[in-house]
Amino acid sequence: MSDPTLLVLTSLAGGDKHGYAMMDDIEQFANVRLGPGTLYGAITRLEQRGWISPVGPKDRRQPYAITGAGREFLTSELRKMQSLSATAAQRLRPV
Amino acid sequence: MKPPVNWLVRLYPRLWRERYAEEFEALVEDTGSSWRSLPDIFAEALKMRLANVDYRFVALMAVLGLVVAQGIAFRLPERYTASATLHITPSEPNDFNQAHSEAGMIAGDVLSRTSLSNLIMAPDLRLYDQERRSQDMEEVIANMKAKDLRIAPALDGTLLVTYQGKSAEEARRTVERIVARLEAVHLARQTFLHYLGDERLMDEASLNRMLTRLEVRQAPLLPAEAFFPNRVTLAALGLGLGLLLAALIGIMCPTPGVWLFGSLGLTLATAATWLLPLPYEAAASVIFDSPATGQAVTADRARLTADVRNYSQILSAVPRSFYGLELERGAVATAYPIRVRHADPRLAQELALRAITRLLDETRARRANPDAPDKLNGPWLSVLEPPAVPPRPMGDPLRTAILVAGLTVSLLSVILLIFNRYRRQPGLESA
Repeated sequence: MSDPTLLVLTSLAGGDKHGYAMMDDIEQFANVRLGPGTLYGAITRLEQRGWISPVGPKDRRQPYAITGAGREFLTSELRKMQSLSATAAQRLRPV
Repeated sequence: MKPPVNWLVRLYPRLWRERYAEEFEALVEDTGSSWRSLPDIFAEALKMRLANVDYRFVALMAVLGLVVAQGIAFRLPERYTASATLHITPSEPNDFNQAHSEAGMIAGDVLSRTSLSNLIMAPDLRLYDQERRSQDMEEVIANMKAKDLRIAPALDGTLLVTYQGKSAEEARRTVERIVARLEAVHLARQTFLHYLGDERLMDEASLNRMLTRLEVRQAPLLPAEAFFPNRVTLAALGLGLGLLLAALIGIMCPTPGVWLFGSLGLTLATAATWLLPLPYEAAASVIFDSPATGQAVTADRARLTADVRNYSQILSAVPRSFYGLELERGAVATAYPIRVRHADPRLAQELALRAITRLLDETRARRANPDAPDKLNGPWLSVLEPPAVPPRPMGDPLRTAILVAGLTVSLLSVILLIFNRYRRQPGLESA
């Protein structure tokens, strides 16, 4: 999984974080180091779609939280991935 | 050295910067602000620009394509072709074998290694300067004969000379030099053959009675188009630079006043290219046929010097402001170019004609004995078409193709941006 949008949503599903914390978290669970441009491109798109929102007081290091709509989207994407994963595993099983 | 992150952030859309720039810069600080992150920041800025139609960016893309295409086109080496046609008239009518043989002999002499190396190393030509640094003379001459120089004798005694040079002037001067060399070789050969055949016909007394003759082989033609640089190129450059300046300033400081300033600069730059006076060049060349001078080549250097000095006096009688004169010291039967440059092509032509008329008058006045018999029985050399300024560089079609390609890429960029505008996600406008 390398889609920055899903990586950010997954990271925020574990709790509110600001940009740098998200980069560290994503690197730990996905072994992918997002660049600052890529990360904020994803944050911008997610906020515009209402899947994440800024939380806490306005600060230079702004934390974000996943919204209900964001959770629904992530869950739906996970289901699709699980289905895809199951199908692929079944087809790869030796006969 | 600190990476220019703040500058790159300016490439992002203005609304995005207002919302995210502060926290984005904080993130870059936290990550250590390395040079490795710059491509990522730049790529994302590009993506956001593509997702949000910004006409300033569209203009920038279009102009960048144009400017880059122009830059590439101008780096391409230009090739200019100059040509001349000569004709050998046989001593007996319809004796084409004699004419063809003579044409082949003088062409072979001019294409010899010694002759071409002298031509290449002539101080006023300095041909193949760059190539000579990495290649020996044999290789340079072989390439010259294979790619650039052609001297083709036809069966009827016509000699076609063509040469491709890096500039129009170089090409023409080289062909002029080759024509002069062909004439000199021909004249020396005829004189030599004459002495071998019948020495009585060329005694010193008859030679002294022979005077120089001037023949204008072709009157100057009205130049078809302006000398380089041409208006179209200048206009394209002015347009490109003006638009680029306007687009850059507009992106950095998006205020109505700056756009007004940019548009004004663009208009002025374009107008200036059309107001610049561009010179037209009327070109002609005149030939001195002097059997006496030809004789001097082999027998009497003092007479040769005197004759050349005589030519110099004739030519110096024409006001120098009218023409550009090249007088080769020690040359015989040389084609003397006359060039007049003026913003008005008709006036350039008129001035060149006046210069030639003056030369003719002076020459006639110096002709002491008009009944001097022509003692040479061998074939005579005639220049049918003197070299003219090549009207356009050979690289022009390629340059046009690159320009068209650049414009096409720019146009496609615009179409892509407009397409993106209609398929972008809701809510992007607020970013």
